[in-house]
Amino acid sequence: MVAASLWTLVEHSDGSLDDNSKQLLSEGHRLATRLGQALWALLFGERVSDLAPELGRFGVDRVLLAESGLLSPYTTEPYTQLLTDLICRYEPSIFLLEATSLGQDLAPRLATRLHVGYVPDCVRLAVDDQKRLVMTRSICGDQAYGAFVCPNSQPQVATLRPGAFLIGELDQWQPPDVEVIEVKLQEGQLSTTVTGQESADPRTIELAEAEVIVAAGRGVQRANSFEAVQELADLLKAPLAGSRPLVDLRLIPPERQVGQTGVTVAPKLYLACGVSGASQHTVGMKDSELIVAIDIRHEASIFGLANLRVVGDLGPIVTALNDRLHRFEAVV
Amino acid sequence: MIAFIDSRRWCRVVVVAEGSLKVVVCIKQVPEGDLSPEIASQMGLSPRQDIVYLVNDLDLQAIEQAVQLKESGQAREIILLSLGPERVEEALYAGLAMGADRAIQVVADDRNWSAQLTSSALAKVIRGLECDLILCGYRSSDGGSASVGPMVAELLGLPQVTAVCRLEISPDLERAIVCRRLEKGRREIVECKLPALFTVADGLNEPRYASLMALKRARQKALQRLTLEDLGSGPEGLELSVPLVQMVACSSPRPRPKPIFVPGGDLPAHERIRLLLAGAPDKQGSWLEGEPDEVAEHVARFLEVHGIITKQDQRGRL
Repeated sequence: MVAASLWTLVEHSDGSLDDNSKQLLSEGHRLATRLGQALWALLFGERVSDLAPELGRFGVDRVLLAESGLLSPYTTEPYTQLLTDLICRYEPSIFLLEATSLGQDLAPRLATRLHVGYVPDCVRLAVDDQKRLVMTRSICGDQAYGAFVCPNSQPQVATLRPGAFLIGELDQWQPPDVEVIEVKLQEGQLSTTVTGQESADPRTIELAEAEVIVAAGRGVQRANSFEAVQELADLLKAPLAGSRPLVDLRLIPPERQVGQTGVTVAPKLYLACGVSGASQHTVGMKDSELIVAIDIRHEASIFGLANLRVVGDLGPIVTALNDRLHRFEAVV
Repeated sequence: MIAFIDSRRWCRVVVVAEGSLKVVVCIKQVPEGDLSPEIASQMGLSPRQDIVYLVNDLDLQAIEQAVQLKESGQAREIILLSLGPERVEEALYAGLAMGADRAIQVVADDRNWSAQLTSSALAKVIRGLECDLILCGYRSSDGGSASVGPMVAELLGLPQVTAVCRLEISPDLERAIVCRRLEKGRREIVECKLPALFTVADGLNEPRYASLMALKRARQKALQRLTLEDLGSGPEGLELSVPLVQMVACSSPRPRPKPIFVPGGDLPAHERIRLLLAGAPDKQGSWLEGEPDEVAEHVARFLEVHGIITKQDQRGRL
């Protein structure tokens, strides 16, 4: 009998852990400590072994490392097969994944194969008096929160909503044990193959998917600088959004309207050009991580939210900024 | 090619290419506004009396995709499948009006069905249909677990691709080439052998509006009703007694959790209190004013410091 363990499947891109995985590991560590169990991390992919020692930083005790061309890029069947084998061998008590395109594809499939309970897109995890894992997720489009338990099966499978958990690194840590798993899968048996990748086209992606958004307000139209702002957006590889007046003027398509009657966004950077900051607009963007506002009026209410407040004539500033940005590359 | 005459009033000859794919589209009827009465009562809210039920938005796109496959001559028959009480037939008629051929309803009471039970019932029905392609919405707007599709695929032992935003079928009808939606706007092209199950993400297409005539004609199409007894219980584990997931509590929404700013421990207490009250240190943002060139230089540096842009190597220092 193996000692009970809590498992996490970490995701990575370009040889580094993504933030969601750090949240996943931190939350996993918190729960594992609470339950007195070991934290295991599953690291799958091609040439990913360099990442394994780093996982100790988040309290991982043991890493199951599987390297194979079949595991990168992700397809459903190899992951499901491999995880089913591993779970049957080691019998973890809990298995946590991220609620990403990978996790949402894999977790329900795996849970069904193992015939165990699965709770998707959790925003809170807790352990109750009977040492059961209580998984809270939003239902009905965030209008209610339901708390769930899986009393009759093990492992309890859950996916964690990206961004809903905190990252906590340990001050003192040691590299985890690494066990290399042999991948025994036949390529011929697989019915899906990834044949290509497309990078995002900023002019067409949805606002909710964008990390950087450039927004145009009435000031853009007044300054006659719409083309310059569009160029700014292209240089930053960001979609161009707008406030209601610009949608009414047909300069911005309706699905690109941010605010009360449009979409709500929270990108890493929101660059507002000539947006005065009416509450109907700001309600849709106030949670952005960084806000840079350019407006001609000191008293524009958008400045109350902005991290960087630029007062001045929009046209010349954006043109000068575009000139500079030609020397840079957008990090996306 | 088949030519048949639509004889009801206008003698119109409709020529339909003979496709050979049999497509099943699983749809769900959801309450408009998303809060289902069962959940509302568990939260202690008085249930609304005027709930309007609609077809889940992504499921409409799945139906539209199937109808387009039929129009392009690749699909032969479109079967709609849904599970729920009496009222679900309205959702099925809506789908039939869009162009599906027939519909199957698994009649089940109003209880809150788990994804696990729903998928085992659907899988049971689909198994008897011998279809080539199964389409579902990626997620429903009420339950929103995004798991029924993959669960059905697993129960049927079929390959799956989730969050599909573009779908093509190869001319020999053996494979599908789909575009799968990933994070941050990235896309992935996946080739998948048929039969397979795909869940469709937003942006696949614009579902058509059914005309009044189509809505009337839909009532003439076949709608088959099955009860849970008809399905029996079997290898998919349709035993209702042992649910794998139990809801223990249901509460009103809380604000979406997000990381909050925590001031460093080395600051004096009054300073930490001030920072906490301000929300974050950066929120007392800095002001920039002056010559456009200088201002632009500052903004560019700000973007660089925060990792939004990085210097190009080759043309770096001018």
